[in-house]
Amino acid sequence: MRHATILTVLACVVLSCGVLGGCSPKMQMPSGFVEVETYQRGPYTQRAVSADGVVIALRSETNPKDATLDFWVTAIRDELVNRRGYTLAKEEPAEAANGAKGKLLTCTANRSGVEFTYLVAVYVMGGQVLVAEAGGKSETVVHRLGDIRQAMASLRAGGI
Amino acid sequence: MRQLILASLVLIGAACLCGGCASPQSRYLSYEFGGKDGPPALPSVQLPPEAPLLPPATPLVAAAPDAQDPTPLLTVVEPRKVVYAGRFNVAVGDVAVSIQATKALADKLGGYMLRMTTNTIVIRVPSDKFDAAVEAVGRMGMVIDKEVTAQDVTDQYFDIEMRLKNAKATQQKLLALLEKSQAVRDTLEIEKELQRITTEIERLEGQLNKLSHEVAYSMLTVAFTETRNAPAETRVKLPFYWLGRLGLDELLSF
Repeated sequence: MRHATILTVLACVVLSCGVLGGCSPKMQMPSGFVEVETYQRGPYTQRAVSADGVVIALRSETNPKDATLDFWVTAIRDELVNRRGYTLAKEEPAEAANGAKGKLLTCTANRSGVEFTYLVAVYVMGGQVLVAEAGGKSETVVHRLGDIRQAMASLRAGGI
Repeated sequence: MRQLILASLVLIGAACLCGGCASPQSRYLSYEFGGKDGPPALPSVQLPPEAPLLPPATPLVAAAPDAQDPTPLLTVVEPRKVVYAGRFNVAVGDVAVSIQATKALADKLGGYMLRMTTNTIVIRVPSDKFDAAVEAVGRMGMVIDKEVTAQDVTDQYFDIEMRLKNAKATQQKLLALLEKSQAVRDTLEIEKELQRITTEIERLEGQLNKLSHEVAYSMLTVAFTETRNAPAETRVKLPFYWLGRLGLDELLSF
């Protein structure tokens, strides 16, 4: 009886993990990138790093009612450019694997005389705001731009 | 002979005086700056963000000699000579980096850096790239205030040009007189006048070059302020904590 209860609980846990895990938003990380553990209370649902220090990550946030893609693009641009002093180099349309339309912002920032590039793609999918980020030294990122764009375009929303 | 030379000098002097004192209208026919009341005043103005930075250039049109005749016999179209200048105050995350970025921007656009302090930089860029420079500076951070001025120097430019032309004509006449002159006293008189007119030509050429350069290269003064020192009302924070966690710091930290 006791074994049966434990087994039932375990089965439920495994099943829940499977369902929840399978429904999380996900990007297909490019080859040469290694996925690293994302902490339970950390901001990212997925994060991967290349050996030369380029990082790609995905975060999923709750989208309040009526918050449109334009709302988030404006908010993110303001945060990066006006608060952090990033320089906006490019702003272009983006598209996720399921055809959802988004925006990709490419920024640069200088750290101790070294230029870094930061890319952030934002999508609104139902009740979620999905934010795909990538960054690293500009001289390194430039060689991986194709991989980064491919990863961002492979984004699939979760079903939660 | 001596009387002839002296009479010529007097005539040249009188011609110079006439050239220097004539009104711009009499020298340029009657130029119209898009209206009948002369050039529009273009003082220093505070532009709203949506206002275009550069007004469309209005061609100068020389009207017909006879004001009663509605069909002009001769129409001369001259480009307006306008000196554009901009002054920006921008809040950025890193002032030193933004100063360097502005310097690089000037180089990229074919301009140059005029002067620089720890938080201010003055650059000159080709006038046709002025809009691009203004846009790029605006993207560097949060624009706290900006001012773009356009000064119409067409009158001034053509006035100097006409004075220069007259001075050169006088110089040629003096040189011709110098060749004919035989008496030492006359020669000395002419040489003295030649020296004066040559100095005047050099001065006018300098003024014209300076003005031409100011028309060709617009000046942009950018004062940077650290974002944390920006006025409080410009730092409204949205109630979405994760926006504050975007960026390279969080992304590249393990």
